[in-house]
Amino acid sequence: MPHPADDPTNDDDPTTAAADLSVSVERSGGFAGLVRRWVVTVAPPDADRWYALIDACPWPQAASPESPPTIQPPGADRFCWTVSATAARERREASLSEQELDGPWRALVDAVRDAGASGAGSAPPPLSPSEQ
Amino acid sequence: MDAETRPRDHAPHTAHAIIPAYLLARLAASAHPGFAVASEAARATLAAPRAYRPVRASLDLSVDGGALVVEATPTPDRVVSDAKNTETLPGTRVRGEDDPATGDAAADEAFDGLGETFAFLWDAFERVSLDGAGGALLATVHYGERYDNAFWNGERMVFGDGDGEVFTGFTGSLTVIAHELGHGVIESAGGLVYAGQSGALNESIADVFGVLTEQHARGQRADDATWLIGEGIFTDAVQGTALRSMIAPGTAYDDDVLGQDPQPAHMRDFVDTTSDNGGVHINSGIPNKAFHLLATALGGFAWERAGRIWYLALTGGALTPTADFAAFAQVTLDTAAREYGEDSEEHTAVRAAWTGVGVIDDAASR
Repeated sequence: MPHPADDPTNDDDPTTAAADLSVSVERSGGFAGLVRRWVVTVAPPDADRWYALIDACPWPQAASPESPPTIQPPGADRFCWTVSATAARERREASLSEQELDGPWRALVDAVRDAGASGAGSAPPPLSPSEQ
Repeated sequence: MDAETRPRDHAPHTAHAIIPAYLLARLAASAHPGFAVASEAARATLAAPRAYRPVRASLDLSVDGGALVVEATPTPDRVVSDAKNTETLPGTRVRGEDDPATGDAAADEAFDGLGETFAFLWDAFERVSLDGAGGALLATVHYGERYDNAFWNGERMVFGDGDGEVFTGFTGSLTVIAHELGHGVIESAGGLVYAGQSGALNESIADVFGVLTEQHARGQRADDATWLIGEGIFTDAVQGTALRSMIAPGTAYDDDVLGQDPQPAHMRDFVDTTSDNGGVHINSGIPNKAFHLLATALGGFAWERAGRIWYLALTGGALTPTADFAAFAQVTLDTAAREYGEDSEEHTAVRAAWTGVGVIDDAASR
């Protein structure tokens, strides 16, 4: 996902555009079948960190919610995850099984859950206490 | 005389048998006139070819007049492991079948729940373990950190500790344990694809195993049971009694954070969604309600007739992995007609149950 500040076609003030970045995570399924959502709206000072997390994920390889994967992982009652990132001009969305939620996906989802625990979320907390 | 055999892995013992080979051999060699018939039967049993298939059993031997009476009940082979808050399976083995309690509540509750489920499957359906062949019952507890789920991974049930905010943990609910193990029975019976209607059937049948195991353990009749899945696993902060209600799908919880129980109880309210593999935990409310209608119409212990019809429909070979609600309904109708007779009380009640949730309509079922 191009950082709005790096996008030469972006006429907006980069500070304003960066404020438009939001990342949401939906978890469905599991034994309980409860749906939980976490959303982060990224404040400009933290945008670079979030773009790095987002860009690390292999979005093109992921299934979309509209066309879920045809090969089923074994078992039952696993969680189903939908991750979406929205910036000023672009929206990415991925549908992941619990077994696929690993590596960069796991890092992104954990960051959103930590930051957006309240379900609303404005400025995310630092990704680690050492960065405070 | 009471004797309990616990055949070890290296010990020779027989298949169906339940009765170990050494005992058969002793009976076969017996010259006691009172045991002539038993002796002959034992010789015939020993002569029959059998596969090596270890099944643990408890034996109850008694002498009734001149006859030796052998009653055998298979016993489970349970192994509970502890993931120690990692996501690595199976984790460290903490309790096997012959081991004393660990003192860890989750491990011991899982162990006991495996036993209750094993006892239910044998007593209600004469099924020996999940695979019907005495296979080991495997569980892992303390999976992940504050992991709010319990699942079946294709070979074992896996339990997180809950996050303490929504869930207190899962091993305290026998319906949850038996639900997970029910997935193992379903898989072993040929499986139901875990998406859309076949996935919702998979979920519903697992719920049926869940509630029936609890009713069996408590000795409850259909009218006395709660028909709740996961009663008592929510923290006090959650406004709800359980995860799902088979009496009244859609009423188990109504909470500020979790929202309202989204389960429908009738086909007119079927939920189309891409979440949760196409709403497998949502639309399961419809076949759940059908089972509850059948069980309460027939009365008595729900596993004796309603459960038996569902079980035979699942395991009888007529159910395809992609079956939808209507296809499963047809298999249960055929099963009831075959087992109890055309237009029997049971057959009529199965039809009424599926009609009651809108899966088959009155005209089509004639």
